Amino acid sequence: MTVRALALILLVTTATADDSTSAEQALVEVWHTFTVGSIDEEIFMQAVAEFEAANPEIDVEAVRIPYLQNLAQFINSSQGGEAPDLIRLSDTEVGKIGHISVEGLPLLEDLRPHLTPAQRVGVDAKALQAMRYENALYGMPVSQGALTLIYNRDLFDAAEVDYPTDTWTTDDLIAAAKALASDEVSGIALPLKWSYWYIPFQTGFGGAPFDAHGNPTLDSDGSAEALNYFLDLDRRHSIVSSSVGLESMSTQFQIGNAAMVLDGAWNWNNYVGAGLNIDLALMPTVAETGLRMRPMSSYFGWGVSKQSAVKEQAVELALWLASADVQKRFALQSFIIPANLELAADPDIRSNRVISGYLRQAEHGLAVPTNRGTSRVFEQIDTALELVLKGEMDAHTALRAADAEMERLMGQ
Amino acid sequence: MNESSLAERWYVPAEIQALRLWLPFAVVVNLIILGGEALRADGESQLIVLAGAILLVLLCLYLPDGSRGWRRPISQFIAAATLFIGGYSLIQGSTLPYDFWAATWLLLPAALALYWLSAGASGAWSSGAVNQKLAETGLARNKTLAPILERFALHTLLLHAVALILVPVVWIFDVSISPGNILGGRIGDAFSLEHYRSMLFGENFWRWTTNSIVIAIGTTLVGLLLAIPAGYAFSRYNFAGRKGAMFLFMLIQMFPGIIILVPYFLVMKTLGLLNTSIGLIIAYSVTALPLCVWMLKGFFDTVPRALEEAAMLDGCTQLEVFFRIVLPLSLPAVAITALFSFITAWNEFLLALVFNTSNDAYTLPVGLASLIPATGQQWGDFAAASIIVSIPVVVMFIFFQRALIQGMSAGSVKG
Amino acid sequence: MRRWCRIVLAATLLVTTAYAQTPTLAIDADAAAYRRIHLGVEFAPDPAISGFQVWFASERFTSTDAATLHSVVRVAPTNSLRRIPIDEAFDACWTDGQPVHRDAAGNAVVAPGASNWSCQLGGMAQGVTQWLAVVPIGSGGQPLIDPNRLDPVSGRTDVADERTPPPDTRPVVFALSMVIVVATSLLIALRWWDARRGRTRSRLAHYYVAPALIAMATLTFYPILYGIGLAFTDADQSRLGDESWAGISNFITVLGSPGLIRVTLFTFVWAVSNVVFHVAFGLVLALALNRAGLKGRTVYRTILLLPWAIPAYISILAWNGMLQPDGLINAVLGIDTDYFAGVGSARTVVILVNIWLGVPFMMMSISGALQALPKDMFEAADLDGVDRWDQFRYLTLPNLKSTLVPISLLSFIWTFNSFNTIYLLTRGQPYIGFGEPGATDTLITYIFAVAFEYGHYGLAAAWSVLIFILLIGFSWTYLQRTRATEAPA
Repeated sequence: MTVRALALILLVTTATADDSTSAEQALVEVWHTFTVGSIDEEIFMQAVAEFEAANPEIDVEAVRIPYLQNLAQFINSSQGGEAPDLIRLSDTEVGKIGHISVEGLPLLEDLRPHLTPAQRVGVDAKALQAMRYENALYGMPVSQGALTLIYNRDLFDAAEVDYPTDTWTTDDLIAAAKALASDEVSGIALPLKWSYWYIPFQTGFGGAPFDAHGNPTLDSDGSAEALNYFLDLDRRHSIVSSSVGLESMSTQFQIGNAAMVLDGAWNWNNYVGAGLNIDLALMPTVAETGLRMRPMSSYFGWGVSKQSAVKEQAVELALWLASADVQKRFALQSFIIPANLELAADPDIRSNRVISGYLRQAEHGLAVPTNRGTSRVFEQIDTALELVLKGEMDAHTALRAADAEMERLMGQ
Repeated sequence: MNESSLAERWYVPAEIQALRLWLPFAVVVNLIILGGEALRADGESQLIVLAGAILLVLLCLYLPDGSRGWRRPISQFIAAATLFIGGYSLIQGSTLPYDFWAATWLLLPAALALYWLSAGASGAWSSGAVNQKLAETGLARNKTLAPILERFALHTLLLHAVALILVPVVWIFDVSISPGNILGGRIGDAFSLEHYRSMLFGENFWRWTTNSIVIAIGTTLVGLLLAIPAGYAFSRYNFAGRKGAMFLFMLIQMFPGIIILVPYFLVMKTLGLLNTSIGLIIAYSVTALPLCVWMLKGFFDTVPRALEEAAMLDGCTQLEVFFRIVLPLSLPAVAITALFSFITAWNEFLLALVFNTSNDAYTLPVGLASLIPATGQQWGDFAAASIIVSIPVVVMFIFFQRALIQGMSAGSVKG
Repeated sequence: MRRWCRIVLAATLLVTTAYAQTPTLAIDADAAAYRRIHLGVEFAPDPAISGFQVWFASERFTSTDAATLHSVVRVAPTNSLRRIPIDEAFDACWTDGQPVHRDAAGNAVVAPGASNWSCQLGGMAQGVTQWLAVVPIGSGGQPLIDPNRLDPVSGRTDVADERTPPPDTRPVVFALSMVIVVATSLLIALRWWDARRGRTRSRLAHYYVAPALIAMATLTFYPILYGIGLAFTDADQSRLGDESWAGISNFITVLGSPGLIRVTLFTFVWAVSNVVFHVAFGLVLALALNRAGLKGRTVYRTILLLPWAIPAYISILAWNGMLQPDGLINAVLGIDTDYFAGVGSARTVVILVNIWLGVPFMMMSISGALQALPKDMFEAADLDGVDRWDQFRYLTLPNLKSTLVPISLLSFIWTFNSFNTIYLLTRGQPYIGFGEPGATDTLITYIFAVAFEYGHYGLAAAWSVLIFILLIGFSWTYLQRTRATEAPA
């Protein structure tokens, strides 16, 4: 008796749980990963409010998702049929989930049918490409990031060393780092176990993680030469300590214990907030090869879920969030580098040293393919760095093994 | 064997008993310090600590036994040597607080040993001069001295535990009151309440807190409501399926959770429990059940059945027996299972994240996780939040301590 | 190859002589796709035309001021350009039945001699009539027809989007109903069995157990059964909802994994050392706190509770910060060791941090159990001159058994299946070799990688089932040996 009643309740709750959205008012659920209470979140919520005001027939529910859990949460929710309509994703994340399919369909909506060509002409072609998985376009790009050389003016002044310039070579970098070093201060803080910081050196020696067709090319001679050069910054020149991690890199720079750092615009606000007198220059040219170091470019964009019942409205919101207007606010207030090319000519953007500096660096950015393999390449390079640093392998052997592992993974 | 020699044989001064117990501890601590010196790769310090540890072992082996008087000068000599080595390491070593602490672990045992071996009643005993009178006064003296020494040892032990616990906590606290959002810096070098201010004056924080409190208290109540009857039945009755059911409670904890998140999600969705407090309350109650049921069963086992049977004979119903006798006697266990349920619900992260995707339904752990940005970390805010988050648990605990103490006094009633 | 199905309009209206001829527009309704309307354009080749603008609006319009620019198709030499297959391009355009050429930015370009092109125009609202006009432009971008006297064509697409079907919850409903039905009838049957065997004292026992049992079964049985079932399929992220039976092949893969033995061994070292130290330190501290007349007991207890009161992931991240080369631990010792670099030190560190986290819970549980011990027993022992150690061995320990056995077992299971400490401290690093679990990976952190980094759900489920079996075997033996399930005499 009670059992039947319980079963009935169960059935009723399922029946009511699957209610459909009303035709009148569309509700767009959007997930973002901006830190709670941050200026980014404020700009975002303001933009959403403006969108709602301009589109009275659309309601937006903005949900804050912890950044580290964003992807797993999206995958889980998609499998459970509760995916949001719009989600903020990086190109690496697109690469990680592009292959996932539920009931034969991908998690994200291909945006190509949704866009008019006029809506994407202003967008950086590299950014658009980064949001594509195989042929589909899974996100409307809004921002980009790359490492550049940031330096502490006061420490340069104190050591009477000339500021870095765009024409610097790696020899200049090493010489300056040595001149700047004292008991308290190190010339440059670099995380030697992080592949993301190795990649610029790799490109500076003519290597690259992938070739034009997306095949791994870790086993090139340039890559091995770069790896040795990178680790020699500690082993030979002793200008960096191999024990510096990501966290201690930014901490050391922030407390004035490091004169230079290779970092993205994402930390700029923190550095300025700590009272540092900082400036930036392009990544130097490698003296041995004459090639400029190219940091890996990364992008963020807005993607629409394949499950969404309000795709048109979600695309509308994505287009608004990707508009030059909103991107400009993010750029000027929070140093988020825009992916909209029209903004490069904007007088406010051009006169902003930081944004224009990063945009200049972005021209020398390395575009990596957006696929499953790309997100796995870091782990392989990290392993190679670890093994070479410990002296268990030489650079060539380690990178060859890393390359073989990448081939194996991508062949699966 | 006459009475006097019995007293003589039985008598060991409390100081010497204490040394016998403490010196092995001092050796262990010095071995740990030796490990620290190995990390520092400081050859000389390693040698010093090693020598100190060996001397302490020797001292332990050659402590006077009350009859062999020749042991006293030997142990005195060893103690003096240890004292010398400890003093040397203090002078030679760096001036970090850690080094003072390390040196103390050589100096203090050695100094105490030297003093006790040389002076007073224990000194006399050590030289082998034991007579009946000395033994009898000594035994009386031990009665007052032993608790003092024991208390000293207890506080030393607890203070070390407290220090180990507090180091990270103080560090988190320091980060929380430092301006900026960095990890490094010296303890206490700057002061600012900006992080507390930004946490406490944000509306989000209070919403998360409210959700967490509702869910944690709900879990505690539902958990106890489910676990107490079950634990009682397992303890008191032998019924068909008892063993299997008890094992079943353990069983559900054994399957690794991460792979079954999606089916779990579907169950909650089917039950209409996503984005609700009730959903998490039920999920957490079930998570906490195995421990609560087993813990309570173990406690009910210690409540003598005779008490219940007597009450039954007096005409109490089973329910009355349970509420009047069994439950009051098991209050410590109820308090601990309640605390466990509360903390489980208060600190859980993954289910709270997966089952809720709405800013309004977030609990504190999920809310705090959204303080971690894509790059870098808002360490200051994060630390301030974590200090604030642990306060309700501490308050809750102080509240529960009363239940623990009540349980203790109730326990004495039953004797 | 393209059927011009419905010619809405062949526009030849009054055009001033200054302007070129308006191209002929045709909407092909059959070729419409989701949010895409197929527009065909025919025109007389004219060297003055450098391109075509497509304008659209959801209302009929005569001037470009009332419409939105959709796209520009350029007319230019195509010798150096590539025809990009329709699948690869951002939008779909053809000329003379072939994909158009594209310039570097991906825009459509038709050769000067061409007299037609057609496009699947994206960005059209579904189920809404759209009005489209094509304006030829000259080399300076100026319109070659009067932009205020346009005569647009209308078209619409009603093609619905492709949407992932919601997950089928019928199996869940079925499973939940079954769990409740089976659990209830089982309890009734057992109750009846007891009654038949004349156990009248326990007549209420099944009712007492029922709520807890049913709540637990409802929530956890379906997920666990699902997980077990998953282990025998080839479930993979790339084709969820489309698994097929794979037999025991997953288990074979698991048993042949590189590093299996090493990870399993480390998992046992990790779990056993944690539980041993949790119980040992918990016991020592609980006994110390339980001494009569101890001053400051409440303060000590409250402080010692803190690692349990602070959410674990916060304290783990704090430890992570303190163990950094420029962190607090090194500052205390005056060195700059990188604890996470070496295999041995990384393993030691994760275990130590986890011990720190777990001791308070053990201490509190044992404290509670100690409170319940009858005081008179120890007083009697004191009077009899039984020394402390023997009191501990023969009185305290046996009486703690009913608490210690379940909590040590649960602690073992939790530690075995715990994930946070290692994930937040080291993520399994340092790496030992390519394609192998890291030095501090335990079975659980490795399963996480298999499931979510590699996407092999079936394989991860097989790992989980093996852990499940391992833990069941271990726990059953442990409980049998310690006779913890026995009812007290």
